[in-house]
Amino acid sequence: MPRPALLVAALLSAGSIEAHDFAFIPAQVANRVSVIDLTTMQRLADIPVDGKPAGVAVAQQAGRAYVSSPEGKFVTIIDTASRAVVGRIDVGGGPLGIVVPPSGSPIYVADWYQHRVYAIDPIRRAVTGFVQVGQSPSGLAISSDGRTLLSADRDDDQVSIIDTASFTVRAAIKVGTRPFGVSLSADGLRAYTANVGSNDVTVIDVPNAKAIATVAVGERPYAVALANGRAFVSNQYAGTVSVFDTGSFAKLATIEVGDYPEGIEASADGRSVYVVNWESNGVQRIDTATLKVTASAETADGPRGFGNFIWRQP
Amino acid sequence: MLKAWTPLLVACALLPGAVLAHGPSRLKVVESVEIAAPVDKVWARLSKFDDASWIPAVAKTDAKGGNEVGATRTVTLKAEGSPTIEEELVKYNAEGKSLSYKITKVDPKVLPVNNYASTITVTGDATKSTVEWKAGFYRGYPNNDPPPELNDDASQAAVTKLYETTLAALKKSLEGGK
Repeated sequence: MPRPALLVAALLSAGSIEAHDFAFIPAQVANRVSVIDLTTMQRLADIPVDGKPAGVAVAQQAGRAYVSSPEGKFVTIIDTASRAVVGRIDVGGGPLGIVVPPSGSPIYVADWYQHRVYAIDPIRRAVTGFVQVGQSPSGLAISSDGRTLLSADRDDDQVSIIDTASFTVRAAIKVGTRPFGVSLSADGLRAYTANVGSNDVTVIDVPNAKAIATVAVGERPYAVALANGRAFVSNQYAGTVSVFDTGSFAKLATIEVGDYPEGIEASADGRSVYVVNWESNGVQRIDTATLKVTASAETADGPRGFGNFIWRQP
Repeated sequence: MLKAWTPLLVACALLPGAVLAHGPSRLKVVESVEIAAPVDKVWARLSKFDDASWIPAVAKTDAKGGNEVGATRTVTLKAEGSPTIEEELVKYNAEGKSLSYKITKVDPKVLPVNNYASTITVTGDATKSTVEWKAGFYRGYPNNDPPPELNDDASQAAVTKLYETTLAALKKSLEGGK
């Protein structure tokens, strides 16, 4: 029989190793950000956020969720621990795609209408500069060192690779038709775009700035999550998630999910992928090994969750 | 002479069929109606993608592909100038009595929407049914700061009205035994 002190120590250490994941999911129809405990799949809060919120980027260390409202033309700052709105930054244009590097600054926001990506200082809460990209920039992705920023320029069928130090476009790469979401591998070497118009994913060799493969997926792909050597692609019209091997590009599965899946992101441990279903108002957990849906939770109406919506509580 | 026209020609050539920029917010409409008729009878009326005659606003349907995913139809409306809407079948589930389609071409003056997708589902039993008709779409104006007739509210109101009137007519037609 274990001694009580040892038991307590074991429990405490388990608690500290098993970080707790929370999702901050913009629900555009409801003008809310739904907070979901991803361990219990309980919905903890619906935080009021105006302006038809759609995009989200969580700064892990800072404990902030930055939420873009394209109709309101601003970014809302949410404190992830207290689940409270702590500020708002006016951007203008049509801010949608949003990303923040691991360092927590700056925040990058794509302006869908003025074809720019803004840099925003989260402390000063002000736009500090912008770079002109292709038409209708949608998804953004950033390397872990914060030096390389990608923009999916939807209506130019291209991805811009932006050097953040000089804040200039280093290269533009033609991809499939109407790329929307873009995701970058953890090592920063590969990028994946979900091409809304051609129902496929383009794989990009980032250092060499060239497209190296095109993988067919389902109807109206929206975004890509990467985990366990696999790419998970949400297909809006098909109501599925397509899975392929990121090494061989072989198709592994088509998973039936809720209606009109949009935002999709992997947990930090790579065991789970969470997909947000706009039409059926929920988020589902997919086991990245078995490729089965294992849990689901409800959100407020019209969740989009476009971006990185998972906060791992330290 | 020709040179002066080139930019316009190029612009026109790029427009048709392209999935161009759209409004920032995808809108939802969900309408349903309860009908005092067997579920099989109601589904029989709605299940043929090549026959949109249950929608009172439709004058005729020209279709190809039957009920196979990818089938297309052009519906001609009972309105001045006989405007048309082109649609494509995206999902078909006979067992679940549900079908989904998208609009591939429409003039926003006819229906003020972009990237419109819709699902019709019938549930019920041998005596009564529920028809649910839901849609997701962007407003008619693709850019920022839309004019009032093409903003989110106008688009949502137009689709809501179409669904309400159509479902009311469907109920009347099926409960009347016709």
